[in-house]
Amino acid sequence: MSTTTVWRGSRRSLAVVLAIQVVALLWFAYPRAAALIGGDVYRLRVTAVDRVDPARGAFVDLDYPGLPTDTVTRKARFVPLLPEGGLRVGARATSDRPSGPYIACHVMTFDDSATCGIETWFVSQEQAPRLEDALRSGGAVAKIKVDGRGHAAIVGVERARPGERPSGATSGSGTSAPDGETGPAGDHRRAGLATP
Amino acid sequence: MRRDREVEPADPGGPVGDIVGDLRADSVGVTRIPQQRVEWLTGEVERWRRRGLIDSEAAEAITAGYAPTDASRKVTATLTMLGMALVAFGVIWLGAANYSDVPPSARLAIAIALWLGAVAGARLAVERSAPSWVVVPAHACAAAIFGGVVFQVAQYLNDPIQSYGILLAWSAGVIPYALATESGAALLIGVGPATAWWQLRFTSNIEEVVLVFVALAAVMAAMATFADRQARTLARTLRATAIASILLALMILLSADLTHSVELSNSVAIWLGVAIAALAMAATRSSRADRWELLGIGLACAAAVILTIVHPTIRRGVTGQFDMDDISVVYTVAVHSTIMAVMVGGAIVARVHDHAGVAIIAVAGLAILWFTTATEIAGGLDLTVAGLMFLGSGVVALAVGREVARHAGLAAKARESSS
Repeated sequence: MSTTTVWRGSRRSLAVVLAIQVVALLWFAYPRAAALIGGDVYRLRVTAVDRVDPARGAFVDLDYPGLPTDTVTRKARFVPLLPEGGLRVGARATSDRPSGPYIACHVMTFDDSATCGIETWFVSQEQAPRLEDALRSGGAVAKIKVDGRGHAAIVGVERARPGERPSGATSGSGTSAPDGETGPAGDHRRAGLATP
Repeated sequence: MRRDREVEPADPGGPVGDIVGDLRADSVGVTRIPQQRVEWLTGEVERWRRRGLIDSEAAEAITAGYAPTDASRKVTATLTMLGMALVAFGVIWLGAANYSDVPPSARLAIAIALWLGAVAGARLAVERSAPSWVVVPAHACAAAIFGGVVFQVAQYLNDPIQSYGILLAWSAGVIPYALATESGAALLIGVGPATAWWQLRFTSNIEEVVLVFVALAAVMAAMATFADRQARTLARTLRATAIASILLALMILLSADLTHSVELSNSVAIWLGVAIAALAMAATRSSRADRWELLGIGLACAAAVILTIVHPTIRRGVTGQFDMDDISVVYTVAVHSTIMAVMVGGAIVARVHDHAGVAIIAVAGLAILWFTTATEIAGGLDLTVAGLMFLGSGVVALAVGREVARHAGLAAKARESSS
């Protein structure tokens, strides 16, 4: 064989590299996994982003009319979750961690938009267009889990229950009690409007 | 029975060079080299014999040590590679066809199994002394499939598709793997998402994008001089990446709309600082020849930084057409000249390091430069200036081409074409 490509390391170095890769995976998974494992369930009104994307993927881009993500900056990135109309809406983003439930968001440098970790819902490629239509027709609610550090993960999309009609973002204050059941990470696979 | 010598590829070009080199090596018999080189060597040895430099016995001994590359081995290797490619294509096709029917947790499990299998397979290939055309794709697969695992984790947890954490996790896992295995292919797969992540995460305007590519070029060039001693394959990839990065940065300067004032973010400033430190550290620990190379890349990077800082504020008119004033003309000529200098430097690096890949990048850079900017330059500049610029580019291109041809052992053909 050519002498220019060799594995100079021992089996131990292979183990170290694999360990680094596992750490990279755990680091990547931590925010969402922490929310799914230790978070409380909250319900937010949700719609679909109207994407112009002929080569669409097997997912739906979600938009939360009740979350004022336009107030998120590099410093003010904590969005308090306040109860309204049976659901949760976001208040103006703050730079200090609120005492009640909140989502930690961050600004993406390349387009100055904010992400809170709950903007994508993976479904099959066949289901995605139907789910987008259903979400745009209104009356859909996203179930999200949020842990004590503001890590958020979406666990389901379903129809709003009777009485769940929030008006939108608010600046008021409210309770910190969660809106739904608190379950293990596997709960997020239960059917809502669509199942991945 | 004679044992063949294992020859170092004469014109290695990364993975392709490894494949060629491996085809030349033979387990029994003589050293295998391309037919063209056998003919050249035979002619040269005959000339030496006639001049009395060597006797007939020595001439025979020299020529007997070399034989043309065995065509049957090439066919076997080609068929094996074709077979591997078809198997890989079939697996991907089957996976895609049934992707929707597999639950997310099963997809994640399959991806993890494939990743671990690819790592083990690459390791096994190295331990069994498999040829590099097996080892190189095996490492590349292990690196690429790790990206698949990260993506499956993202999908399983519904991580936002817009977030760039997926790029960072992928590169953070692959770059250590590439360095440990000295795999240039894996390194490229790791550096790609790392650069994309950096650009998305920290750069907010095109000037910073350019500066990140400049810094990447400097860091890669510095790493190449370190890698030269122990990991030549890696060094080739690093060197080619460095040349490609600086060319990319300069071409962005030449073709993109530059309307921002340069306000360096802390992260980009730190990245530039790391690049300078890497070049300085490499210079203190390298040979004299390497220092010239580092000086060259350092000067090219410095020129790119200066050109980024002093670019004309608006280079396009209201209509979007190129509407250049005198400053813009000077600027465009300066960027163009720097690109040409980098390409000439690339040709020299290619010759010094016996690395045709770098020369190919340099020539490809020139081709891209012509295709992307010719119309704008011709439309915006004085025709005489544009003509002189193209003439100069052509002369340099011919020189680089001749250098590459000579480097690849095609001197005779080059002489024919120039005459």
